[in-house]
Amino acid sequence: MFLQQVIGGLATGSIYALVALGFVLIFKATDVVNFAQGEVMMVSAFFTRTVMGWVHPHGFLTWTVVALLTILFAALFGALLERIIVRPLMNAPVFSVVMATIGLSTLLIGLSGGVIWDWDTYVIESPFSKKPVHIGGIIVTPLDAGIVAVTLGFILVLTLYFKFTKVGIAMRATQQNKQTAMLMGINVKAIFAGTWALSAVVSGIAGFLAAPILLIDTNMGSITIKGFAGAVLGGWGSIPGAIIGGMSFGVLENLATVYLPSWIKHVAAFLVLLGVLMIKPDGLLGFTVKKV
Amino acid sequence: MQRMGLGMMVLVACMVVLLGLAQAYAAEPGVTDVEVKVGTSAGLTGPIAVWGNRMARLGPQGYFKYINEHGGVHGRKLEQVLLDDAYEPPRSVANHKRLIESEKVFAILLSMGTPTVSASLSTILDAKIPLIFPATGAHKWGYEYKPLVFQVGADYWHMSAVMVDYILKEKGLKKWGIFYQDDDYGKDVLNGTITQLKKHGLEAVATETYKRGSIDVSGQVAKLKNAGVEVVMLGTVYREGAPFMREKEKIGWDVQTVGIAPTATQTFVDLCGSSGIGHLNTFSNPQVDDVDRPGVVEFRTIMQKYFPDEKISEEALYGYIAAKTFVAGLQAAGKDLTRASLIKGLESLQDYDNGVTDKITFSAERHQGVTASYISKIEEDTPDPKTNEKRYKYTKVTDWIKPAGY
Amino acid sequence: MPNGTIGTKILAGLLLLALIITPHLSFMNSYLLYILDLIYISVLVSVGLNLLAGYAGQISIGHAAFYAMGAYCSAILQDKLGVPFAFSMVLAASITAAIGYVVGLPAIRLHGLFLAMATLAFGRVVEEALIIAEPLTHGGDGMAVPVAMLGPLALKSDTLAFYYVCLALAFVMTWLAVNIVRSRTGRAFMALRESEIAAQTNGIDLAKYKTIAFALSAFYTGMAGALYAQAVTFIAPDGFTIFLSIKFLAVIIIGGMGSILGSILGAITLIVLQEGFAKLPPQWGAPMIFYGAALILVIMFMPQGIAGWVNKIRYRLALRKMGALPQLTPSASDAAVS
Repeated sequence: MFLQQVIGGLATGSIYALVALGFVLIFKATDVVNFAQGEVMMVSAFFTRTVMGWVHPHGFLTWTVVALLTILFAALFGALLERIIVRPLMNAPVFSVVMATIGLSTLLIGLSGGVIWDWDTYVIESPFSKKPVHIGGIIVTPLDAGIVAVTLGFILVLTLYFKFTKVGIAMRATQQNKQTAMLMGINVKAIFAGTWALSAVVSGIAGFLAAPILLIDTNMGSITIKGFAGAVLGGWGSIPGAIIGGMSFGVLENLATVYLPSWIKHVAAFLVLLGVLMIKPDGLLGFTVKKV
Repeated sequence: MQRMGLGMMVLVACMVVLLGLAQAYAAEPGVTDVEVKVGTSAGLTGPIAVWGNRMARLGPQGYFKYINEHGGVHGRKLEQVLLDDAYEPPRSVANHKRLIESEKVFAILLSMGTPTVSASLSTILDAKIPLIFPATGAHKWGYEYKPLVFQVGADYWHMSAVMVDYILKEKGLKKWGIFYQDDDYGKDVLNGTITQLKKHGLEAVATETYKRGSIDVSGQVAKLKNAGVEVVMLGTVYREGAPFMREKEKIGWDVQTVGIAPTATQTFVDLCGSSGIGHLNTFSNPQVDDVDRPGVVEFRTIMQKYFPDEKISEEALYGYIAAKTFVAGLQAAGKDLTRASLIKGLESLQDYDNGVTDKITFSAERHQGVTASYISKIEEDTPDPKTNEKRYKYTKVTDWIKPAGY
Repeated sequence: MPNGTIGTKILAGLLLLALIITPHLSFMNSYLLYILDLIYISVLVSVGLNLLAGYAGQISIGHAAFYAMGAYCSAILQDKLGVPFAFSMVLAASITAAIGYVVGLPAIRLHGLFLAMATLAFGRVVEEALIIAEPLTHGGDGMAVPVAMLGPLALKSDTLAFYYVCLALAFVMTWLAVNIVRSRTGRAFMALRESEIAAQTNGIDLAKYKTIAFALSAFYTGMAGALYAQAVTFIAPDGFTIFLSIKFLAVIIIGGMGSILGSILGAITLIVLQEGFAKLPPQWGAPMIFYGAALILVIMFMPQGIAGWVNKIRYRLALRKMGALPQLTPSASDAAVS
């Protein structure tokens, strides 16, 4: 049972990890914490559902169409948000921008529930099947495996991206010090837009893959806190940290529901987080993000 | 200048709102020769927006429109003053005070939510205004606050009791597990189930809780399975009930699941998909496609006429039932309508049939309307003709069952 | 800013007088009385939170936890031990302050984001603790709050006695806060906010002032919670969520951070607006759309909040009086002031 819970926790944890990843991407380039990360995923998921109402995916081709449309929408949406909310606040104190994103999250919920879609809860299918497969006493579904695989894939791709590509390095430079980056000829505005678009795409993919587990409604954004917790746990500012932290958080939660007495199980993961923050504020994999 | 302008607008808006709120109305408490005004406070936005809008708005407003078009009750048209409290207790208290003091409503109808209405209760009782059919399933409204408070629908204790009795009698499954939300609703289901099991000399074998909004319930499912549970009572709403069902299907656990009102909806069935098959649920109102019940047919007609763009939902059906039963009370109260005569009017209803639920009898001692439910099972439906996707639905398996001991 | 001038004191005195008379005006009813009670309670929370977040610069996204502790402690002391309200409120506020102090201890090492996360987690843990401590708190069911008596007078949401208690406490605690802000402690708070390194260099004991800030803020919030419990007569854990914590922060941002006036204006604005929303068609999602948009717009265009805008007007009036603003054309005065 222990192993089953760990495996199960990895799948949920991967969703947290993708949310955490969205946070960290934005933070790495723009120094902002986007508390509307979960709501970005929600809007994207609602859009995915609408698209699935048009396209009715049932084969590889149609699923790819849905995926591509989702990615495109998410990218545009992310860039739009950056342009109207973040760009004007580029020089404001960090706390202000954070609170603006909190306002954004509420705004998005209101718009999605009241104006564009509605308050009901929906389920959509995922390209991965949910048929359980038994491997040596453990039960896994392709859906679980798919989510974990995609998440791990992201670590690899993005870590390499930030380390070795020009744009990636430019993003890191921008986060270190905007002024210097500008002086070095980096188009900071484009970096900002690109980062938000990228982060939104990550959330969009998370929503798309995980919708069968998550259920689509205006409450989806409540996952933000757990993603945030995962990111801090793993080491704020680090991409591998976000993912490992997110996955750990999911596993911790799962193990807690099984092995801990009822009075502590629902908050055990948060208590662990608090503990980590006390002892090692930089998180498990932490490296402090140094300001230049 | 723009900054000043914006700030100016905000301040003026504040002043206007504040002044507007201070309007005093005429002294008559909600009744004139041509109108009866009732008040409702519910979560129309926020976590229970779906229920609030369907149950507290669409249902009653549909029925009121219908009655008004047919001349009203004793020549009086019905009006509902509806305020949003977003499921926040302090706002519910504010809304009820406003309804009583500023809007001067005649009675409070279908206010929603246990924590919210509980917080407003002292305000309501102090004002000696009738609280009719609050939209909460807690086990107290029909019993504890006579004569001002009435409840029309079966509550969670009644429903759990019916299910416990049924399962013990028909299936003989004695090892019960309970999976419940860690708030007042879940606790109600827990306590109702345990109380009824005790009456049969049994105890629950295992109980597990979850927090509203949880995604992963695999831990709780695993623990219940390991405890050897034969039947699981779901004290959930559909958001967490469906993941439970899917998880149990995933691990291949063939346990009998049972549920009560909040999972008695098509939404729940849709979210479960194939994992729902075999699930049993109590219904204290028929399903919205049950065309054998005249009240349901009337309800469908009303919804299609006045709210054609809205889903015809079970939640709205409940609101309709409450409104209809309230109107029956108004009718019985006679032309001389006061709060006292309303209470007498309701208490005079014997075997009143609203065309939907089981028959209702009120009296001076009895303020609880329906206690009976019937039981339905989730089965496969015909596939969607357009997309050929599989569909599922609830099918009735029993007639009305009254819970023993209530 | 001319906070302590005679002019301000007279205005404050007049306001107090007006509020004392208000319940006796003809158009008053128990609904409006209750709204005013809520405003006074909200002012307590706002001022308390502003001391911590606005003046001392410590971000707390878990203040609903202190609010809940004040409410539950006071209710439990009355319910289980028969403690009269006057004592239960003070005790509850003090217990909350003590816990605030304890929360402040780890805050010494955490800043900004990490502190925010820690307070968030703390809020969650308290929310859960309320459910678990069922023998005391009645868990998820929620508990009824006993009616408080002050001698022969009942303290309920529709009584004058309760109104005056709330008014008095709001005034006294606000006055206290104004004095704290102008004292050495207040200056230490602000030094903390601007730069912790600089503050330390100047000999300011970070640990001491951070924990004091938390304890003080918790005291205010706990007191507010105790009053709140009496006003709503029934409290349950799911009334004290993270969303409430966020609302508290939004109030001081819209009102104006680092400003006592801002705390007051923010509290009034939000409660009044909430009441205005109650009747709007819910399909529009109006409250959430407004609330979110307002927060964003205020941060973008009025970053000092309403208080900042008020101060700007006072500043301009003062300048004009001094003859420093020769013309009244918008562009000229904008250029001169900004």
